[in-house]
Formats: sequence, C-alpha cells, structure tokens
Amino acid sequence: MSRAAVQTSEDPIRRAPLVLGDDSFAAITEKVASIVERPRPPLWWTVSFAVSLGFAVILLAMLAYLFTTGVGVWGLSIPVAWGFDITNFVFWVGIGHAGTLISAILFLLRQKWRTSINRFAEGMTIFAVICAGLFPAIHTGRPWFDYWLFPYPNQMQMWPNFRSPLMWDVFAVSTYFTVSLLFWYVGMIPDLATLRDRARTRLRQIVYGVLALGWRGSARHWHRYERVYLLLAALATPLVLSVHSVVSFDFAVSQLPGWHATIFPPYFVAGAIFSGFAMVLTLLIPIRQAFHLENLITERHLDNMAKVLLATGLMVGYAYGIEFFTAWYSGNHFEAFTFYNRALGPFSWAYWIMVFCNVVVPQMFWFSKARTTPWLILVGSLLVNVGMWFERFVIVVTSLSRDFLPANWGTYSPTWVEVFTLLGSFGLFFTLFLLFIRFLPMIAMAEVKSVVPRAGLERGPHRGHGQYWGEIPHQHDEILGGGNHEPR
Amino acid sequence: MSKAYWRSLEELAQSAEFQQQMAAEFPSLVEALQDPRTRRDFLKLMAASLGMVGLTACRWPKEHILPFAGQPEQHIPGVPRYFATAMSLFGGVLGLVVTSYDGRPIKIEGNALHPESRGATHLWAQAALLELYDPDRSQQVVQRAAGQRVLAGWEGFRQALASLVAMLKRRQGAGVWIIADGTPSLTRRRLRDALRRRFPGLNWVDWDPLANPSERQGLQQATGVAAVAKPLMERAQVTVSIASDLLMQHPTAVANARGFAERRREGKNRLLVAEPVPTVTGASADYRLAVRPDRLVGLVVAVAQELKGRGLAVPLDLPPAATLAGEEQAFVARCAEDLLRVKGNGLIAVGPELPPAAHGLVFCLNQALGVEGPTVQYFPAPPVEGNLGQLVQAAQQGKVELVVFLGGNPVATAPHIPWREVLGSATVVRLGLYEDETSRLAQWHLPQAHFLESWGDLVGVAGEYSVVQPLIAPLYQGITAEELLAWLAGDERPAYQLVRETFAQLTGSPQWEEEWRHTLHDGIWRGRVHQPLALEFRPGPWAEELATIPVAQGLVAWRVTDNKILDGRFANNAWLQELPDPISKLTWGHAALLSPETARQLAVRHGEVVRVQTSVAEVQLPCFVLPGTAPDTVGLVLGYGRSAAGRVGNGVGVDVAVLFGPQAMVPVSLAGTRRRGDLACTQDQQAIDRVGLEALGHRVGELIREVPASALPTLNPLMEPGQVRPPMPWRERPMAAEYQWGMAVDLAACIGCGACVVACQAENNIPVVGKKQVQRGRQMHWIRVDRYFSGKPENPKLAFQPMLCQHCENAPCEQVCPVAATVHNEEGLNQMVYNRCVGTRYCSNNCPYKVRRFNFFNYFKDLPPTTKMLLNPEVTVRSRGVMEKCTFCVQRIERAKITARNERRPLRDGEVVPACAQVCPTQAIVFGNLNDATSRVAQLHRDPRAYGVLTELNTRPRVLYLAKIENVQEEG
Repeated sequence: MSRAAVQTSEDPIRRAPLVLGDDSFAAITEKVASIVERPRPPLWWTVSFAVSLGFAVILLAMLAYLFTTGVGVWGLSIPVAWGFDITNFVFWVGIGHAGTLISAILFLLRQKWRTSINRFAEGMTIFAVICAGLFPAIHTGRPWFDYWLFPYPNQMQMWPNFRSPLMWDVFAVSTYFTVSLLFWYVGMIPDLATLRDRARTRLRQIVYGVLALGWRGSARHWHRYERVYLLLAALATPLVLSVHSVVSFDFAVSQLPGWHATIFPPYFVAGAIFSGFAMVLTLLIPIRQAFHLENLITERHLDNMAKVLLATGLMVGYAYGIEFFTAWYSGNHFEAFTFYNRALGPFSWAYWIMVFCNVVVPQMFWFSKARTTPWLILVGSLLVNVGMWFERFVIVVTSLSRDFLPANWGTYSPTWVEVFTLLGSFGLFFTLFLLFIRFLPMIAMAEVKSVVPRAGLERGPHRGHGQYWGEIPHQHDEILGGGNHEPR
Repeated sequence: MSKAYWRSLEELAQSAEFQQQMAAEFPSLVEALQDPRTRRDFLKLMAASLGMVGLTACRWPKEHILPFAGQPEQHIPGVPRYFATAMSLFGGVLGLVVTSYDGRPIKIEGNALHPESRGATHLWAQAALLELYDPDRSQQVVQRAAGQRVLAGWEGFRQALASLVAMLKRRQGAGVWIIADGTPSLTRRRLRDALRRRFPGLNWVDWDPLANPSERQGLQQATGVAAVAKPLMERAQVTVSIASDLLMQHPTAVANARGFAERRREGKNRLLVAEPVPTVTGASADYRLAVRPDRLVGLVVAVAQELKGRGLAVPLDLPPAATLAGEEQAFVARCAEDLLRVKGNGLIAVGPELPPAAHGLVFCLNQALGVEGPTVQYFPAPPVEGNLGQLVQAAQQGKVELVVFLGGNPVATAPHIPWREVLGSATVVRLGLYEDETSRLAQWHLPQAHFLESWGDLVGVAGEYSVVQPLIAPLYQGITAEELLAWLAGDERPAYQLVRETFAQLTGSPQWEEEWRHTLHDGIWRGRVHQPLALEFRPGPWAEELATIPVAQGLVAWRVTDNKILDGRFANNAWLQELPDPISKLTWGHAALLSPETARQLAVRHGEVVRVQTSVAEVQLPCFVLPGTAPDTVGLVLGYGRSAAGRVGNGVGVDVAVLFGPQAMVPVSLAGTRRRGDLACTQDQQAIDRVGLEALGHRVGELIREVPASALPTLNPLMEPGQVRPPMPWRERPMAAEYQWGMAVDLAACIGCGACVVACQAENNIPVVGKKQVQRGRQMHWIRVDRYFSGKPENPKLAFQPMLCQHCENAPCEQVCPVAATVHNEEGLNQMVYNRCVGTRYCSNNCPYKVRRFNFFNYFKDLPPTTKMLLNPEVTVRSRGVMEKCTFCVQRIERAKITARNERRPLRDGEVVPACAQVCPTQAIVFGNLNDATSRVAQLHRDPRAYGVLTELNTRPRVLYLAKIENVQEEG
C-alpha cells in the first residue's frame, strides 16, 4: 500500500497513524523549533515577506487616501452602498472560522488529527479576523467616529442602537477575536516555554520568557493548563457558530430581497467553514512542502480537510438551491426576481463563477485520489477561496443593485482603490502570517508529541493532554505491532 | 509665511493699474482653465478666479449705504423677509415672491396673488437664484479691440458711449440696430418708442428663441391682429395639442398645468397629443400619437377635414388631407369626435414650430367650435418686431454701423445667421449676463444686472403688470437693459426712476404713488395693460401655405428645446444641468433621441455615439433610445455645446443648432460609430437587460396605480384601511403628539416637470455633484421623479411618481443604524441626525424606497464665496460621510410652530408647506397634519384613490399616493 493509502485507510481494525515516521520527541521539538530558531529565514520567506509587506504598505496608502478624501474614492453609490468593503469583511470573517473550529470543536469531538494543524489554523484565524475587523472600521463615512459604535459612558448620554445588527457585529467579532486570541495564546504556552528553554540569545530569552508566563511543565501546570484549554474550547465552540450567524444577521435582518432570509445563519456558518478550510489548505500545502513537515502534516490531514470541504461545499450548494426554492415558494415576486436576476441578470457572471468554484469544484473530492494529491487540493482550495469571495459579492451587490422600485436600480463597479485595498488586505494577512511562522511555533509541539506513535497513545494508561475522561482504550499493541514507547 | 517677492512697486502696492494689467492677462488664463478635468479642479479654479477677479471688481459703494447703527424698519436679524418680483420666459410672465435673509435672497416662490403663478413656479424660476450668485457671470466692462481683451471699466464705456450717442444723433438712428431679447417690459417698450421718435431711422429686432412668432404671424394673417392665444385649461374638457408643450414650454405653462390638474382630478378632461418626441404634455396625454414632424401640418389639416366632414362649419377651403396611417386616422377621428362632443369646451393648440398658416387654421377651428371665450382667450401679442433676416440684408448693403445687443445670446441661438460678416465692420455693444459667444464678437461687453438685482417691469400674456423688484444690489456692477436704452437717449436716471415713470403713465392717476406701493407689495398691478380681444376670422391666401408643406422622405431631425437649460441660456446653471430631464432622466448633457424601432433599423445601440449629418453640418453625440419617439425621427436637443457659457456649461454636449437653421425639421442621415457615449442618467443608467425589463413591466402597475376616469364616482378604495397599517405582533405606542405630519401625492396631477426637485435643492442646501458622480449614481436630490414606461415601446404610456422619504412610521432605516443617528420624533418625522451619523450606509441599504442620499465627498469644500450666500441659513450644510434625506422641510414646520405658539394658537391647515409642495404647478403634493381629520392631507389619505407604496413591508409610509386617472374611451 502506498504511503497515502496507509494513512487514509478506512479499515476499522487498522487505525491509521496520525503522525508518520518514528521521530523521537526531541526530534519533533527540533524540527518545529528549528524553523523559528534559524538565524536567517529561507530565501522564499524573505521574498514572500517583502511582497506581502509591499501590499500591506499599499493598503496603508489606500487607507490614507480614503480617510483624507472620503468613501467616494470607492465605487459605491445609492443603491449599492456596500460593495467590496462588506464583501471583504464577510470573506475574511469566514476564513477566520477554520482555526477555532479546528482547535475548539474538533478538540471537543476528540478528533486528534487536529493537533498537527490547529496552531497553524488558529494563527490564520487571528490574522483573518484582523483583516475582517479592518473593513467595518474603514467603510464608514466618518471613521474617526467609529468608537460611537461601542457602548461607553459619554457626555452625549447616547447608547448605540442595540437593535442594529451592525451593533451585534461589533460584539460578535470582538468577542470572537478575543477568545480566539486567548485560546491560541494559552495553547501556545508550553511551546513558548520550549522555545524559551532553547533560546540562545538574551532577547529571545526575555521575549519568549515573558510570553511563556513562567511555565515549568510541572504536573500542576499541566493540570491547570488542560483545564483552561478545555474551558476555552467550550467557550469558543458556540462562538464559532455565533459569529458568522451574527454576521449573517446584517443581511438576514434587513428588508432587502436576497438578504432577508432565515436560512442565512446556517448557510453562512457552513460557508465560513468551507472557506476557512480552503484557506487553511491553501496555506498549509506550500508550507508543509517548504519546511518538510510531511510527517507531521500528513496526507491524512489533507484527506480529512478535503472531506470537510466536500461536505461544507455540499451544504453551501444546498443553500444556493434552497434559496431559489424559497424565493419561488414564497410567492413574493420581489424575492423571486432577485434570484432570477442573480442567475441571469447583469451580475450573472459573478453568480456562475461562484457556483462553479463552490459547488462544482469540490465534487472532485469524492475521489480519494483527489483528496490525497496536494497540488490538486491546492488548486481546489484556491478556487474555493475565489468562489467564496464571489459568494459574498453576489449577496451584497446583486441584491442591492436591483431592489424594489425599478427606478432605484443601479449598478456597481469597483474603483482601483477598492481593488488595491482588497489586495492590500491580503498583504496584511500574509505579512502577519509570515511573521507568525518565522517567530512562533506553527505546530503545537506538545500536542503532537501526544499523538506520535512513540507516545503510545494506543497503549492505555497514557493519553494525550485533555484526553482524561471516558473509557480507557484497550491495548492494541498486537494490532499495531507493538512498540517500545518511552514515556513523555 | 514665506517671504513675498515683488517685481515692481505697482505689484507691491497692488495698485489699480497692476490689477488691471493682471486681469487683462487673465483671459488667456481663463481660457486655459476652461477645460476642468475634475469637478474638484474646477471648483478650485472657480474659487481662485473669483478671488482674483474680485480684486478688480471691488468698488466703493456710492449710494444706498447706511450705517447699521440703527435697526432698519422691519429688519429683524434671522427673520426672513419676502419681496415680490417677476420673471419672464417664453414671452410669458410669472409672479414671484423671494425670501431674503439679511439682504441675501435665498429662495424663490410663486406669488399667490399672480394669476399665472398662484403660488407655484416652474423650475427655471427656482434655478434663477443660482444664476444670480453664479461666479461665472460677467463681472466687468470688457473692451475687445484688435484681439485684445481689456478691462475698460464703466468710465471707459461712458467715454465711448458719448461718441456712439453723437453718431446716433448725427445719423438719426440709421444704421443702428438694437437686438433685444424679447422681454415683455413696458418700460423697455416706452423707451424704445421714445428712442424711435428721436431717431426715426433706428432699427429694432426682438430675438427670443423661446418666443412663438409663428402664432403671432398666423393670427395676424387670420384675424388682422397680432395676437397670442391663452388656453384656459381649467375650463377645457378636451384639449388637442399638436406638438404644443402646453404644460412645460409655454408662456402660460404654470397656469395651464394648474388648470389641467384641476380638471384632471375630477376626471373631467381629456388630453390628446400628437408630437414627434415625448414631451411633458405628451406624457400626461390620454391619447398620444407619435408622429413624424413632417406630418404635423397634415395632421392639423386632417383634423380640420374630419371636423368639417362631421358637419362643423369651417369657413375655409381646406387642402386635401394627406393619406393617413391607421393610427393617425384613429387619432384624428378621436380628436374630432371628442371636440364635437364637448363643443365649445374643447380646445386645439399647435406648437411654435408649426407654420403660421397652421396657427391660422387652428384659430379658425377653435372659432368654429365656439371655444373662444370659454376655453381660449386671445390677447394682443407683445409688440415684438423685426427679424434677424432684416439685419442680414442690411449688413449685405453695408448699412449696419452700430449693433446693440440687449441680453440674449443670438450668436449661439441663431447659428444660421453669419454673425461674423453681419457684425464685421460695425461697432458692437453687448449687454449680457455672461461674457458669452455674442460678447466675443462685440467691441464692448457690459455686465447685465440679473433680474433679482434689477428694477424693471413685465407684462404678462393676459395683460398682468408686475414690477421687477431687486432683492440685492448688483453683485457685479451690472446695469439693466432699460438703463442702457436710457443712456442711448441721453437719460441718466436709474432704472427705478424709469419704471416709476412708466407706472405713473400706465395708471394715469394722481394717486399712482399709492398704487405703486400696492403693486410692489402684491407683485401685480390691479389693472390690466390689455384686455382679451374679440377676433374675427378672415380667410385669405395665407391658407394656401397649408397645401405646400413639404413631406420629407427618410430620416428627419426634429429640434427639441431642452427641458432644463432651454435654448442654452441656463447652461451654466448646475442645478439645471444636474436635474434629470423629465422624460429621458438625462443629466449633464443631451442625446439624439430615437425610437427603439428606428434604432434597430439604423443598427445603433442605446448610448452609442452617433454621427448625424445634414448637407451643411455634422454633429456627433450619444444616442438615447426613447420609447415614444416617432418613427424615422431623430430628436435633437438644443442648448448644449456652449463654448462660452461658463465653467459649468462649457463643453457639455454638442451644439446641434448648426444642423437646423431657422427650420425645426431637417432631413438627416445617421450612422453609429461603435463608440460608447458618455450619458449620465439617473434612472436606467444602463440599458436594462431582458430580465430587468420583464420585472419592471410586472411592477409598474403595482407601483403606479391607475383608475379610469369613468370609475371615479363609484370607486372602491384601492386599499383597505388595514393595508397601509398592517397590525404589529406587539402592542404599539400610540402616536400621541398634536401634529402628525403626512403627505399625499396626487399622481393624476403630477406632470413630472421636476420643479419640486429644484425647489428642494434650493431650500435644503443640496449639493451638486457633477456628471461623473451622477454616472456613479450619487446624485443628492432628496426628491426625485421616477418615470416609468408601460405598454408598447412604439407608443408607450408614461407615468411619473415623485419619490421622497416616506417617513415610515415603522422605518426600516431606523432599526439598523448602529448609532441611532436616524430616529423618529413624536410628530412622526423620520429624522436624520447628521452630527451623530458615522456613515455606515446601512440605512440606505435597508430603505425599500432608496431615498437616502450619502455625502461620498465633501461637496461643499470648494464652494465659491458668492454661492455660499445662497445657502439657506436654517438648514445644516452636511459634511462628508453622512447620510441625508428629505426632512419634510422640518425647518419650515418649526418656523410655523414658533409663529403659532407666539400667537397662542394651534397651527392652521396649510400653514406648513414644504418646498416641493409649494412650488408644484399642479399642486400635486399636499402636506399637513394627519391628526386633524379636516386637514386636506387627512382627507386625501381617506380618498378612495389613496394607496401606499410597498405597504406590504409594513413600513407604514406617511406619504400616500393618489392613483393616476386615465380618461380614455371605454371599449364597446
């Protein structure tokens, strides 16, 4: 059997290994920590970072132009008063879903394969949410008054309007960001301590030392740590569902045909997971290759994530279909027209790009060959990213451009400022991401060690962190061929 | 501050010579600046040039200056004052009342005491205010000699004037031509006659491109009296209009529209219109025929034949009628039947582009129908005289020595005259509001005072005498045409004295001073300058012209006067440039109008640039596919392509007048160029695709309800009471305040003219955004007039729907604003709190009516100082990044409430009138207190025709519409 087939085997009596190779714990530490500890980054990192930083600077320039001149530098109008700004917001929030889903929900569901990718995905989440948070802040006409959206005691004796979904967004996104950040950080503490311990320079000692919060790895520390991690996972799990539900309320609570739909919360959450996983894959596949992490991030991971893509892609496809059904079944001709117009009107090209990328492309993941061929997954996930961006574009723009009164109808085309702002947000995202992989452990070393073959995961008394409830599994040494596992 | 360097002592001292020199160099700069790349650059230049020109325009006020130590009588700071005045267009006169704040006129309303206005105005009166403050208006006396443009100053001109007057005396007026703009001023007439008496050889030509010389001549031929017909549409049960835009481009359009709407509300009139290109009048017609322009005369003859055939005694030998197409035949038969049915209560009107004989024939028909008196009155035509052809003849004989242009812009509006040759060797003096195309051919350009800066007088069609009263001292040292005339006669008195003298002579009474005061106050004199005429029909050889009207083959172009900037006189008026055309909804430009079928045959697409060619000239402009245009006809809109209009109007569109000459119709050829044109349309910016058109077709009937006139007496309410206010799932808080504001818009009355849009813009400090922004969909109008087509594209029905903030009781916008910047008040107003708005634009997205407007930029940043004087001090100027929308003119509501409270009484119905309702010529908009069951608006809300738009969304709009009434013959 091929390497991939071994890992993705569905044979119930042959549990596939989560991590390949027979690296010792020290070797794993060495492998992950050395990426951070190299005195000079690899050339590709430097080049990518320079390009990303360049785009981030372009973003700054675009923001400066926007703030000094007005929202008119974008292509917005009445009726299309939201365009790239909110499209990008929803797109980035969606991407920000995968990390917390992988780390929290899969953690609670005891999907141990998550350990190789959760740190990475969480990092991506944080940066995506930073990019997402940018857009609502800059899309306002007077961004210097954005703080009015926060409930704070003030001389005007004004509360914000709690009936507004935008207000809910403020809470949902900021809560999500806070919890995700905490979760990411708390999970990283043991690894930060490892880096501190291995630090050769004074600066690293101080920085990682401060960040490690005095972690010594005592049993009590581990106990507290695992408790906190569990609690945070439990806290983060509903947030994964709530944040995109709330984002979808921006649309669902309004009057506009094409926005006003009860299916939006689950549809948006599915779409968010879909796009988040696609983005994780997009980032993971090249990085895995570049840092030779194929043993830690195995074909099995790719396979699993491709399956998630397929599943969520089907959900999204179902939502597309059911939107048409409800539009027709409601008997509301405004609603019916909106969807008819989406598929056949002036923006139909965007609609069909969306359908192709989000519904057609993931179908290839029915085939295990496609799920285990990294470049194919990469192409697929890139297309899903494109498709999901267009999904938000279609929702925001086509609905607004043709609403109730035909005299209101308008159109929308972005200006160069909007295009560069979008590119710039990618620049910001990649800048942060490249900094992350350069300076922080992108694989949760401590967690991975608990699932490597040497951890003797299958051997009974020892279990990975957080895995201390439920039945104690039986010995399967004979099935796995036994092994001489040293305890951690 | 950087160190100031100077090149000469003059520069350092900023002496007058230096300034003059600088300004003399300025023209080239002006020319260079006349191609503004962006609105912003252009506004910067505007402000800069104004600042520089302002230096040279400074002068010490010589008179009328009083120290403000003592408060002038009746002047309370912050309390507006109102003055009556009047303006003239199309040869008719409209009485106005102007609101003035601390000496600045800021709003124009109609004069309720003036019979033409009755409190309403047309859109041009509204926009006249912007013209007053236009920084591009001519600001100084300019002398052009040997290619040099010199600022000569009034002193310079007065010196030159002495020699001109001497010449005038010497030659007894021979070789002297005065080209006036046709303003029907009694003082001007008096001065002209006086000048004539002194200088018998003096030649006088009135040239007003908007006048109707054809009618005057036609009635002269047919009755022996130069007369003008005044339709009384409030009495007409059937009106047949053949290419006459009775409701918009007509001397008495405001009164006509009011009369039309009064009858229309009762469902008791019918309007039949035949025209080549849809006009506002055609849009309101019950029967409309899109007819090729060369068939118009034939159609008049056919109507006459049909009437004769049905037994009407027509005392005229009619030429044989042309063969008519099926639709034309049906239209003619319908006209004849209806006219005979209501005999004596019908009326026929034909447009100014039809030949005099057609006007004569129509007079004959009207008389035969016995309508003179009940539905048409005839008055002496203003004694305009001469024509430009005489000037050309004289020039050919070398008999033109001095030409004085009084206003107007004949060089631009009469391109068929070879002006360079005509004016070649003569001395040309030009008095004008703008230093325009005509001024460029003149040795002397003199700044004319705007009518809001002038003393003058006007005589309306029915002999109403109004005094034109200045609201402000001339901003740019202008003088009036009458003053210049007086100067030529050696009379140095100001216009005030001249007008008073006219008035004294007019009244002929020793108590004229008291009458003068009354006239100033009321805006109209109690007497009439002339009375209706009783005319006798005289058949004559003139009627033979009817038989010789040529019928053209192939494509013909039809000249259309623009509905906004007219013949180009308002080209520099940004309000009018940005006002959507009533029919096409085009702003900032014009187009070649083609019917869908003709466009298909010529293989040109909507928006494509087309090349229109005649034997003499060629123009290129975008094509606009306009349903309702006659087949094989291209409607070309006049007034654009000005080269010296000012920074707003220059380079907008192309000059199509060059194709026409004196005729309104020429055969043309047309070809597409495959280039996309640059149209800025506020509705249907793109040609709508099939998907959109189908939906549009389904929705129009629901948005614009229509009821047949015959059903009016027994009409069941269009909406159940509960339909406007569907129940809520929770207990509602009652709207308890004393006043609950609401509005009713009568679609039966709305003719779509757009006066409300301009009025709202003037009242509420609404910025102009420019063509690029309109193309982006960022126009700022708080009220817009939606135009919908329905029916067959060859001859569609048009419907208008003024759309403004509906002040929903259950407003979707309010709920979604995260900072509570838009909230309801206890009187039911949906209020926009500008200084709380952060600009998320969510409110607009959630507004089903999309009536909210967003300040994408700071549109006031570069406002020229003079234009700032125009701003209404009671309305906030909005900053960049905030949303805005209709407030129901909350400043007017509050002012009225304060007045009522001071007088310790409740508000009376009709005391609060928003700008849109006040201006509306047809009174289609009614505003008031819904809590008062007797108020007009409450009654209209109970009218069976009342319905709300999109009430199924449970928005509970406070604006209800009254269904359109259509008076067509029932089948069978």
